[in-house]
This record gives sequence, structure tokens and C-alpha cells, in this order.
Amino acid sequence: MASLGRLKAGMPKRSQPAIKLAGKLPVYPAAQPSQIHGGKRLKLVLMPIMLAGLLVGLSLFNSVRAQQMDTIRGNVYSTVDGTPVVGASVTVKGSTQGTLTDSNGNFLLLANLPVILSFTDIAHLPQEVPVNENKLVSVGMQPSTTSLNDVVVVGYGEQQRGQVTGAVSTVDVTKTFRDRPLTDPIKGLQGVVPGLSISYSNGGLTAGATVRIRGIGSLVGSGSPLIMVDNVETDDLSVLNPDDIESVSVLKDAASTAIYGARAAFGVILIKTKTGRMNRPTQVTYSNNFYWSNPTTLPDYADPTKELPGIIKADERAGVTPELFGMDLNKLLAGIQNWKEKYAGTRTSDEMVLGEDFDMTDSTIPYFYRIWDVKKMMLRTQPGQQHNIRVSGGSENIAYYVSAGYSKEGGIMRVHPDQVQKYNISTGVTAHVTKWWDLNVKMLYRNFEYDYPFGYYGATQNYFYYMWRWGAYWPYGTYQGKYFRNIPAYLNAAQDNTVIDNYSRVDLSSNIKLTKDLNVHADYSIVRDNVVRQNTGGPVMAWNSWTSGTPFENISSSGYDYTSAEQMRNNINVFNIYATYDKHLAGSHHLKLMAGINAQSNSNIDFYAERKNILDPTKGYLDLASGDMTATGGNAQSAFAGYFGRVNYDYKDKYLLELDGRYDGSSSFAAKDRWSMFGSGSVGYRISKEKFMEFIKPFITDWKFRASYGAIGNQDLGGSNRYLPLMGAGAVAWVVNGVEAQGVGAPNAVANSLTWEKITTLNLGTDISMAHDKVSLSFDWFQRTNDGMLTQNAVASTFGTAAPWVNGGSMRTRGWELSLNGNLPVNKDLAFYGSLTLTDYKTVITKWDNASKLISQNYSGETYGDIWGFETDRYFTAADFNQDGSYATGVADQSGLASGNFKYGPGDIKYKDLDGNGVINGGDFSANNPGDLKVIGNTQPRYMYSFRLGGVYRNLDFDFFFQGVGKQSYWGTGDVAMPNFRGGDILYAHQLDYWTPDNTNAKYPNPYAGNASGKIPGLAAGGNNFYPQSKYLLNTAYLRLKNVSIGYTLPRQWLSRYDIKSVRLYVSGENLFTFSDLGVPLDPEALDGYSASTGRTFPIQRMYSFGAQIRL
Amino acid sequence: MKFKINKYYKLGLSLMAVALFTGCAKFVDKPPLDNFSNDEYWTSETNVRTYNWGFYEMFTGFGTGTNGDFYFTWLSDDQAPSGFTNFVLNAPASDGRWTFANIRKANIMLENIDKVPMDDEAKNHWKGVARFFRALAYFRLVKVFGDVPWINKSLDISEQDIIYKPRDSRALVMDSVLSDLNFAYANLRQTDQDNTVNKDVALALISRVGLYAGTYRKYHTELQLPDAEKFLTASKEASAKLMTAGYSLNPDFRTVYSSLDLSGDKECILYKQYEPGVLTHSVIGYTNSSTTMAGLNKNAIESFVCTDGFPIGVSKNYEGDEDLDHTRANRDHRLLETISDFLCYKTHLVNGLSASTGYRPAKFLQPADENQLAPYNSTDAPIFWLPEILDNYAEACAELDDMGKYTITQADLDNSVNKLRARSGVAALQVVGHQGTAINGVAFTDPAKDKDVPSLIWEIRRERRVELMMCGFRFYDLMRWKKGEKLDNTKNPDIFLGAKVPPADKLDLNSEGYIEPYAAGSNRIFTNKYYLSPVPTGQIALYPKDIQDGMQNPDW
Repeated sequence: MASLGRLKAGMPKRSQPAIKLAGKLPVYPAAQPSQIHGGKRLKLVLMPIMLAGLLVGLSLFNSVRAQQMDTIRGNVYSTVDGTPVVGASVTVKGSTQGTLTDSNGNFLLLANLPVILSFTDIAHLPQEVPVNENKLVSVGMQPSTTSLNDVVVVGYGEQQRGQVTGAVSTVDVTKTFRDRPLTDPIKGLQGVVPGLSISYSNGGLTAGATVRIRGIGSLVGSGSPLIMVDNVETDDLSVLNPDDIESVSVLKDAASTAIYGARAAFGVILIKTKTGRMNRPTQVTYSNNFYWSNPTTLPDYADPTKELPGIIKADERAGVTPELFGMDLNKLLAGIQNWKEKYAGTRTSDEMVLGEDFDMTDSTIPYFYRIWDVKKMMLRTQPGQQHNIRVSGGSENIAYYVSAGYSKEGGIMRVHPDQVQKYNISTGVTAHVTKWWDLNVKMLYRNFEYDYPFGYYGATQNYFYYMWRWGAYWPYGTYQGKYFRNIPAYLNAAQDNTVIDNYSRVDLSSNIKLTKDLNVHADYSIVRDNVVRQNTGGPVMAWNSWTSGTPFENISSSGYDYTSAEQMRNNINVFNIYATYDKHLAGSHHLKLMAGINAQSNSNIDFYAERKNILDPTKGYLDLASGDMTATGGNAQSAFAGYFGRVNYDYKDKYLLELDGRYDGSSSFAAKDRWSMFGSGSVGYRISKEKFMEFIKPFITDWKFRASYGAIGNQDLGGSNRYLPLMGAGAVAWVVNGVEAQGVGAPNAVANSLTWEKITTLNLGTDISMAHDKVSLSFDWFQRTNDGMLTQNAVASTFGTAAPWVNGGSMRTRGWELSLNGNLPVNKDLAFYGSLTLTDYKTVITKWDNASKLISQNYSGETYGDIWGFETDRYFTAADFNQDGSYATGVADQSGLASGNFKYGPGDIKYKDLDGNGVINGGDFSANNPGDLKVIGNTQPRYMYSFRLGGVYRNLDFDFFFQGVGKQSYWGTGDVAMPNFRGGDILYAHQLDYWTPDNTNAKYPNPYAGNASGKIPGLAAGGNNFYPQSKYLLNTAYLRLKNVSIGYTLPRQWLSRYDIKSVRLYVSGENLFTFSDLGVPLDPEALDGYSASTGRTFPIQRMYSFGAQIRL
Repeated sequence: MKFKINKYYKLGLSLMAVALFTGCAKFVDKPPLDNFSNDEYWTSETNVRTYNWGFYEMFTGFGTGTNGDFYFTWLSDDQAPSGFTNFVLNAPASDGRWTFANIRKANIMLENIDKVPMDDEAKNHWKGVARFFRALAYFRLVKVFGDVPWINKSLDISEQDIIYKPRDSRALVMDSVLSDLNFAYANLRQTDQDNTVNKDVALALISRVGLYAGTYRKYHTELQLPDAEKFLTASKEASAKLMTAGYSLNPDFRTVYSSLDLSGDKECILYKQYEPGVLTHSVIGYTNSSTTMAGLNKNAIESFVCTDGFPIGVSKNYEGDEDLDHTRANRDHRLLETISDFLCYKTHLVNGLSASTGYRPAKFLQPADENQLAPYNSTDAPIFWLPEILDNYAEACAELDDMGKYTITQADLDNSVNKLRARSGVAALQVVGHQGTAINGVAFTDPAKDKDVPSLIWEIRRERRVELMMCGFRFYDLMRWKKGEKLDNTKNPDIFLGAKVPPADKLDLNSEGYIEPYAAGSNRIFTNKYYLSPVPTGQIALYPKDIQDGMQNPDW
């Protein structure tokens, strides 16, 4: 067989037939390149490639003869960005004549005109073009998302979309990942797939996503879907370069996930990475992205002259002296007013002037008067960039793929920003070793480095807690070039700490074609993830403004005078072998059988060492510290294995049946439960294939009904070795020979009955393809139950230890998903596309051991995520009280809710007396008798939707992607959500609208310092005027313009002289608009916060980016 | 050719599949590497010993924070805590003392020892250890709650009828405790390792438990409990064995409470070792800082006799309590060492120190300790020590004598309490007639004596009080003697009074010039229900309805 090299060297040789097509076909003579292209320079470049493409095309045919025929030349390109469609099949309709397009999208055919040419390609909608004259045909192909002929990646195999009977969604990889500044692919999947929810609670560089398919599945384990990348479990998708992803499938029901057994109870995300393909010329692609980002929404600091009166009022009402760290707030207020009058607007540097910006004496703590733009002092525009280069190609027997990616993102902190750098390398080689044996090797390497300031307040994001804690008069500047005791001082002094994560993987796989119908695939993967973390604290020198005399000294605690090193190694080894038998039997029966074995072993090892008393913080290594040392470590292992099988049967492609089974083993259980059989079945009925449906063909191309049912075990028990009576080891408070005795404790209790959670899914769905596949619609209704959900019930102390985990609860989720896709080609120059997804589900706890239904715990009948609280009536007025302060007749007595010195009066929140008993209370604090409490909202997202609109006009392409949640609420705690939550820390600008006798229609009630806790067990944080209630419940529903991208593909004629195939320039924006009625100025997704202080966290970002995609 | 190759491959693949199939069952057996499991743990005596160390945390010793067995056990008639302290008035939802964790731990140990490859002597020793600690745990439960369920096996969650069984009578439980301790004494090694539970420690606990249960049964006649004599005899005999076992008193009363190292201390049977940087406590810090201390009250100070051996109401040498010098004059040396030689109170700080009553506890101080701050103190704490045994012996003898089951002799007193009195410069106590007392042949009766208590028992109880003051015994001593009213300030007003001091601004004194640490009207009223603590209501609520009624103690 001819190699690509020989072809390129200009020594064309007729290849032997690679594929036999039925019937006798005419032979096409090799066309002379000069017939196609006139330009000589072009010719030189294109000739070999042209020849290669031609020969590939020719190789399809056997016994080809040349006759007098017309020559049809043409070019096929993508309507999205004008790039050539390589390897598209071009056939003459009504015959088996055909060819494939070359690397420039060119083709050449001989046929007797007139003909209709039919163009098909895996990633595009099929198209038919009539050719009447002998001429150059230019065909733009629409990318397809849901073509019936699309190949959908499913567990251990592939299926044509039309034959899928389970609930499987696929992702349009190009639209989802291209142009977006993503370093973690999972971020790009947010909102894309109906039923797949991806949520973040902050916008930090390393923020992790909560990934759920069809909502929460279990209250104990992670409830996360199984994420498989090329047959290997990959929990953290950030190891992948989004540029390397070829396809993403999301398997949602038991019928499609049962094949993966007990780790797939809550769905599977299947990702396939790109590989080289045979008979493809070299393709080189370079793309980049440069971006800048700023927070979407942040609270504003109030003018302290307006803020402090509110705090003083709140303090006085609470009977607390209005002071902060010894600063008399009234004196402070006067000082700030003085500063505003005399010095505001005259400050040109951050250096603070003693006597003007602040006062300090030897015997008092300092007073700070200068008003800062805190956000400007603390935050900056985040920069980022990405570069990816990809090279691939293939000869007849060898194909390769190489890609490299680099990304660098800077954090938002101005003084000491954190930073992430990532390097990805991915390579793959595929070889036809013999006609029946294919061999593939793939290698993936990812180096991740996160540099961040040492966390003097614990975690890095606690810096935000303190940044947002006090007003804008807090000292953000310097005195004599040195910081005061405030966040910038800590950040400035903090050492750079690092986490380096090296993830590497080698996959070796092999396909053996035993017979025409029987194929055996085997693969073995080795995954090594090594994480090294280096932390160093040390002193922080600053003006200690918390101490009288404001000495310049170390303000950090000696507990932070340490350096630590941590190393973790996570291993996964996976082996799969499975055989597929695919046979079309006589009488339109089609049978496909698959059976195989999967085995995976994991091990996790970690060491942590710490040493006190660093000699020099800039050299934070264990050897360079002199104090006490501590070391800890862990060594865990787990394994999974399964024997799985699948039967697909269809009759006339009309009646579809699939049965899946897996005999699954997990090391999470005792020997008796270690292995279990799970199965599922699904059926499909393509009603459009019925004769009586012929009439509808012009409108509906394909219409399928699906139903599936299956039960899978969930082996994730929220902890390892839960089946074992483990005995903790540790030092005992008893000294033997000068050291503490090392003891081993009594084993924890284990119930013999402990076993898998049983997850059962019923799925009913339909797929409709309309207008020649241009529009497709899918709808699914599902019910997923978790029976035998793990619970740990209360047990009497006489038992001697905590109750064992038992399979004591049940939960049910019901919901539906809708997706609609459309492609509307208007003409050669203009095409539109659009898609819509909509998902809704609700989870109910159907069984839980809480007979009295206390709301402080789960209970049977509870809708998961319910928020209990009061219904806000209005503000109290003077008329609601008698002279002595008691409640007037007919006004419900609310005094039982008051904590501390608080006493309800005019301007305070009046809750509704829902049970009409004249007293506002929480009854028995139970759902059976909730008193005046009710469910005021739910934390779980409802009506999650997304829609995408895009199109191409000539060389211009555009794409708008919106994503949102229709209904969701949250009870925010902490000072951003509730004014005066914690005594007198801060009032933000949005909190100045509080009740006074002159402002009775205010947003917030009469101030009172200290509203953190109430008197009703089971309610979320908040008391007095801020019990969880309807008025201040945050509405976290939102609609985001998640991404906009606009691209321009340079005209090809401009580029050809530079040997560049295509250049596309684009601009893109992320989170450009967010429509939200949250109730407080925060992003509805950034509600994280240390110590339950909503919003004090890394903000969610709005990003602007531009870049180029270049193909050589 | 092609066909043949495929055939071999097929064969190979099939064989591989078979091999994998058989291999996989084991493949997913992944026991934890960095954790012990009960199923595989019991393999050597070393492992048994490792398991046993956790029991030693039951010996709180001086404690970290305010949980120590010394000084911090201030709800008594000896101390006045800095703030008014009352009984728990309402049954709480939870109470950490209602715990069966160590009982379960001991039961699991008992059930596994026979699996361990070691000889019978070793097995019996370790069974003895388990039963010793199970007895200790039950003894503590009974002291607090009275009736408690007796559970002598580790339970599976399915054994609901045992987990939720009704309480067993305290008589049954204490009989079982004694039987555990007798087993422990019979089977424990004389020495396993230094300073661990051995035969002597078992005897010391029998001495303590026997006296407790014996007197409880004798005085709480309303319960009609049997076998008081059995327990008192057990206490007396165990004490007697220890008194001849080679232990001896230190020359100084305070050595055992303030020693940086108690190893080799002849007074100690078991002690808790503290080491700087390893395990430290707080008792010095709390009696040596600006935090107001729980001072000794007037009643406690007055319980110390004069060096002539007579109570202050009888002694001619008593100089009154006009000031501290007079208070201290001619008194039992234990008084001089239990409190400081100065008064300190809120208007009269001495080096920043202040005690609620003016009488500052000095018993546990050790200036040589390298860190005087809480929680970094490192003096060792006695757990079982000879003075208690001597007091137990004297009291058991006197109680048996009172019951007519034994005749106490002068030798009994001379071998026990008189050794303690002699060490502290106090004249010996003599027994005259039936339960009468004399010093150097001069019979006397303390005018402050409870009318229902014979003079001999009264004086022996006093010995116990002054010797073991602030050592955690007093509250439960009063409970077993059925003398709860001593904790009631309306019946025993001196417990809420301190030293007599000159008037000062912002200092509350009573009409006679004694410090009043609490606001007027702060009354601690004792009623009989306080003899037992309430069973936590959160626990009772878990029981079946028909059992709930019997779970709570009377009047709670």
C-alpha cells in the first residue's frame, strides 16, 4: 500500500481497494491537477494533497472503469466559519459513485450530468445539490447537532442517534467550547445539557463545580455523576484541555448507565478526546484567547457618614456601647465628617497623613477618618490568556494527534493576586497493525500550578470575609510606607504558596476484528495524579491598630509561624475488555451484542509534614525551620470491577429493544454485598417508520417513542470502608515514659444490614425530527427513586457509640427535560441556528426516621431544599402596642421570638400569625405543628433553561448563549444579606434605607445590632427582625447572557499565498448581562462565604476576550 | 492462516476472560491500609495493651480547662465558686455523664481477648483490666444517676430490646461492679507496666467503691438496699491489704498534690503523669491568675481542728477568725497548706490575685513548675493514693462498728487517720466506748456535730474532709451520707460566707463582717431529688413509651 510520504513525494500509485462497495462500479481516472487549479504556485502546494485526497477517494472503489463522463470539481466548507470540510463523502445520488473531500475541502468526480450530488459528513447536516453544468460546485454544509445518523457515544460503544432508546444527550462541542476562555471544560457545560446542572458557589480561580444529573440523588454520598474520559473515570475534568474534546455524551437514565454499574447511579458524562484519523493530511491548528475580567455584581460600601449613624442607632438600641476596637463611633463619625470637609479630594497617594487621615496616641487605639474606595484598593481586573496548538494527520495505517495547551489566569486581589498556570500535552497514535488489528496509544499530561498568598485567616477566601467586614474608613493605605492591621498588610506579607498538580495518563487500547461481525476491544490505562503543596506562613509586620499606641509589630499569631509540605499521589489503573457482535439477520432483524469486563483499582497516598519556627519565611522549607514537627499521612485503596453486557435488537429499524446488565463489584462493601447484579431495559418505537405515517413525512422525518426502566446500586456511601468496624488510632491523654500513649479506640458500630442504595429510574421520552432533520425535539419525563438511602438514626447512649449507618431512607425525584434544536439555512451566505433546553425536577424525601417531623432534620414528605420561615406581614406601628409596650388587642404576641435586649416595637418586622392563635411561634418546630412557620422557598433550582441563537453571514459568524434558572431561593446569612447581622460591623450602601419614624416605608427595619441567631431550632441563621422570612428571602433565579461570540473568517483568497488554510478572528464575552432580582447586590451564583457570610467570596466574573484560530 | 490466528486469539481471549472472572472476586477486596478493623485487630498482646490505653482517659486528673477532678469540683460545702452556682434545676436534654462508651469499649475487649494468641495468665490479666474499667464506668454512672441499665456485652443495632431496656436497680449494678472488681483483683498482674492498673489499683477502687456503696445502702434507708455490710467489709479488707502493701505517707501533706514527678512516690498507688509539651493541665493556672478563684468558705475553714486535736468549738487554743493570722494560729497544718497565708478578694488583690471568699486555694501550687499559666501546668496528679485508703479504712471500720458488725479498735485509728493527723501536727484521735471520741484521754464532742451522727464517725468524716479537701470527694460523700442539706445555704449559711475582713467600698460583708460572695437572695436549696441527677430528657425521649416512665429519677 502506498504511504502518505510517497504520495507527498509526488509518486502517485493506484491504491488497492480499501473498502468494497456492493456492485460493480466505474473506474475514475486520476484527474490531472492542472485541470482543477490554474495557478502554478498553488498547484505546487496543493498537488500532493490533492492527489492524496483523490487517491483516498479512489481507494473506495473497486473495478473502476473510466468512460466518457463530465468532470465535476467542487469545494465543501463549513457554514459556521468557512473552514474546509475535510473527508466529507460526496456521492452521486442514485448510484454508489462517490469520493471524499481533501484537506482543502476540494473534490473531483466524474459523472454524467445532470446529477444530484449528495454530501454527507459526520459533523454536518447532509445536503443534496443538483449539478446541471460542468463547473466548480461550492457547497456550504451546516453543522449538525442531532442528526439521526449522528453517532452517539454510549457506554462501551456507539449508537446511531435514531436507534438510541435511553435518555442520552450530546453536546455540540464546537459551539460549547470554542471561543470561550475556559480552563476547566466542566464550566463550559453549564446550561448546555438538559438535566445536567453545574453550579458554582464562587468565582475563584480554582472554584470547583457541583455537578448533578437530574438533581440530588443521595443525601450521604457525593451524588455526582460518573465522569468518564476515554473509558477512564476522571472526576476532575480540569485535567483536560477543552480543545482536545471530540464529543460529550450525557447518560441520564438507568438504561444508559447500568452498563457502568454502581458508580453510575446518578448518571454518566462520557467524554471522548480527539484522535488522529487515517488517510488525513496533516492539519495544524493554532488558537488563542486573551481575556480580562471584572466582577459581575458587588455590594457598594456606604459613605461612613451615613453608615455610622445606623450602626450607632443599632448599638444603642441593643444596649451596646457604640464602639469598634475601642473607637468611639460618635467621635469617629465626627472625625470622618471633618475629613470629608477638609481633605476629601486632596489625596493623591495611598500614604496616610497623621492628624488628618487618622489619629493615634500612645495610650489609645487609632481613629481612622479617610474614606477609601475599598473595591479599587483591593480588587483589580483579572488577566488571562490561553494558547493551543494541535497537529494531526494520518496515512493509511498510522494516524497521530498531538496537542499542546497553555493557559495563565490571574486572580482578582490587587495586592497579592493568586494565579493559575496550566500546561496540557495530549498525544495519540493509532495504527492498523494488521487488517484485523488496530492499536492505539494515547497520552495525556497536565501540569497545574496554583500560586496563592498564604491564608492568614485560614483559607485564602477568608481575605474576602475581612475585606467586607468593616466600613470604607478602615485603613487601606500606608503610614510611613507600612500598612496598618488590615487585609492589605496580610496579603503584602504573605508568602507565595503553591499547589502543583501533575496529572498524567497513558491509555493503551486495541481493537481486534475477529470476524466480519465480531470485534473485540481491550484497553488498559494508567493514571497518576501527583499533588504537591507547599505552605509557608510567618510574621506580618504592620501598625497594630488593634492595640493602644499602634506599635509596629508582628500582627500574626505564632500559630502561623510554620512551613508545611504535603504530597498526594492518586493512582487509577483501569482495564476494559469487551466484544461487540453486530449482525443483520435475515428478515430485517438486526442484532447487536456486547459483553465485557471492567476492572479499576484506585489508591491514594498522602503525606503532610509541618514544622514551626521558620528561620526565614522567604525560604519556607522544612529543613529551614527549627520548631516542633508534625507529620500525618494516609493510604487508601479501593477497587471496582464488573461483568457487563448489552443486547440491542431492532426489527426493521422500527421496533428497538435494548437490555443492559452488569454484575458489579465494589470494595465499598462487606464480602456479602460486594457483588451485585444490576439491570435495565429500554424500548423504542419509531412510529414514523410505519406506513400509516407516510403522510407526515414532509413535516416529520422521524418520530420515536422511548421508554426505559432500570435499577442500579449506588456504592458511594459517603465514606470509605463504612462496612467495617474501624478503630481509630491516636494519642491518649495518658503519659507513659514521658510521651502520650498511642491508643486504639473502640470500633465504630456497623449494621450487618448495610448495603447498596438502590436507585431506580423510569424514563419516558420522545424524539421528533422535523423538516428534514433541520429541527429536532426531544422530551423526557423521568422518575428516579433512591430506596434504602443511607441514614444514621439517633440511638440511645446505652448503645455506647453513634448509631451505624443503615439503609433507612428513601427519596424520589420527578422531572422532565425538553430540548429543541433548529438549523435554518437561508441561502449560501446566510444561515441561522438555535437551540433551547428546559429542565425541571423536584426531589421529595419519602422516608426518613423522624417521626415527629422536626424541621431541624429531614422528614418524610419533605421537599428537598425547603426553607422554613415566617411570612412577613409588615412593619409594626405604634398602634400595635399599648402604652406599657405590651401588644394591643388583636395583635399577635411576638415577644417569644426576641433574643437578648431586643424588644419588638414600631419599625420592627411583624410576622404573620398563620395559625391564628395570637402568638407568633414555631409550634413544636415540626412539620406536623409548625406554628406560624411555613415553607417560604426552596434552595433547589427549578426550570433551568438555556437557549442559543447563532448564525453565519458570509464570513461573519455569531453565537449568543443564554442560561438561567427560573425559580430558586436562598436564605442569605451574614452582614451582606442582613444589616447588623453581627453587632456593629458594617452597613453597606444598600442597607442605608432602614426604618425611622420619618422613613416608614424602608427596605430594612429599625436597626438593632446582633441578629445572628433566633429561638427556633431548625431554622437557618437569623433572629429578631431577620428570622428566615418571605421579605428578605433571596431570589436566586437569574438569566445570564452566558456567552456571546462573534467571529470573522478571513477570505480564503487572502491567505492562500501564505499557506494558511483559514484564519478566524473572534471576540467573545462571558456573563455580559445577568438579569436577577436577588434582593441584595450580589451575583446570584456567588453566595459562598466563610462563616456563613453570604457573598464574602471570590466574585463571579464578567469576561471580555478576543483571539484567533488559525489553520495551516 | 488468517483463520488460524483468529482462532488462537479467540482462545487466548477466552482464557483471559476466565482468568479475569476468577480474579475479580478478590480484586475488589480492599481492606483499609491505614486503619484498624475490629475483625483483624486482635492478634497480639501488644495490640490489646494499645487498645487498653484509651480507658486511662477516664482518669481526668487535674484536667485541661475546668474539668479536673481537683479544685474544679467546687459544687460542695467547701468552696464558693466565683459566681453563684446552683444545682441543675431542670432535667437537661443531654448530659455527657450519661455515657456507656467505655462500657462498650470494655465489653468489646472482653469479647475479643480469647481470640488473641497469649497464655491464660495474660488473657485473665486483660480481662481484669476490662472489667476494672467497666466497673469504674458503672460506679460513676451509679453515683450520678442511681439506677442505670446494666449492659455486659457489645450490642448490635438490631438488639433494640437491650439498647432500650429499663434501668436496673443500683443494688444489682453495684453488685456487678463489685464482682467485676473482685475478678480484676484476682486476675490482674501485680505489675504489668509501671503506673498501670494492677492488683493494688483494683484494691484501691474496691476500697472506694465499697465505702461508697456500703454507706449509701446504710444511710439511704428509704431505698431499703441490702448488703451494706458486704460492701463496707470489702472496703475495709481491701484498704487493710493496701495499708500493708509497702505504701507510706510522704513527710509533707502537700507533696502528692504539687509534685512535678510522682514516680517513686510511696504514697501513690496510681497517678497521672503530666509533661511539658506533652500533656499539661490547668489547676495551677486557675489558682494563680487574675481570674477570681473559687475560694474556701467559712464552713470549710472551720472544719480544721486545732493542733491539740480538738475542734475549734472545743479547743482552748483556737484564736478565732478576726484576721488570717488568728485563723491560722494553732491549727491543723493542713489548713495552713490548703490556703495561702494571705487573704485576697476583690477589693484587696494580692499580686493581682483574688478569691471569692478571701481564702485562696494553695494546695496545688508549685512555683517550680516551668509554666504557671493554664493549660500548661505539669505537676502530676494522684489518682489513687494512700490518704484516701486510710480514711476509707477508718470510716469503714467505724461504720461497721456502728452497725454492730465489727468493733473498732484504737489500733485501727492509729494505723489510719492518726497517721494523717500526726503528719499534719494534730494530736491523735482516740475511740472511747461506743463511737465516743477523746484526745489524750479527754473525751469531747464537737458542738457543731450533726445530732444523728455519732462522734467517732463525725470526727472520721472530718478527717476525710480536711485531708481530701478539693480532691473531688466531698459532694458524693455528702450524697452517700444523705447529708445533702449541707449544700443548702439556708441550712448551712457558712458555705456562702468567706473570711472576716475590714469593710471596704463595693465589698459585700454580712453583719458580722464576713465576705458575702453572692448577691443577697442567691439561695441554693437542697431537696431530696438532688441526691440523683436527672437522666437527660433527650435520651428518655428515644425510649418506647412504656419504658419512658421508669427512666427518670424521682421528682425530676
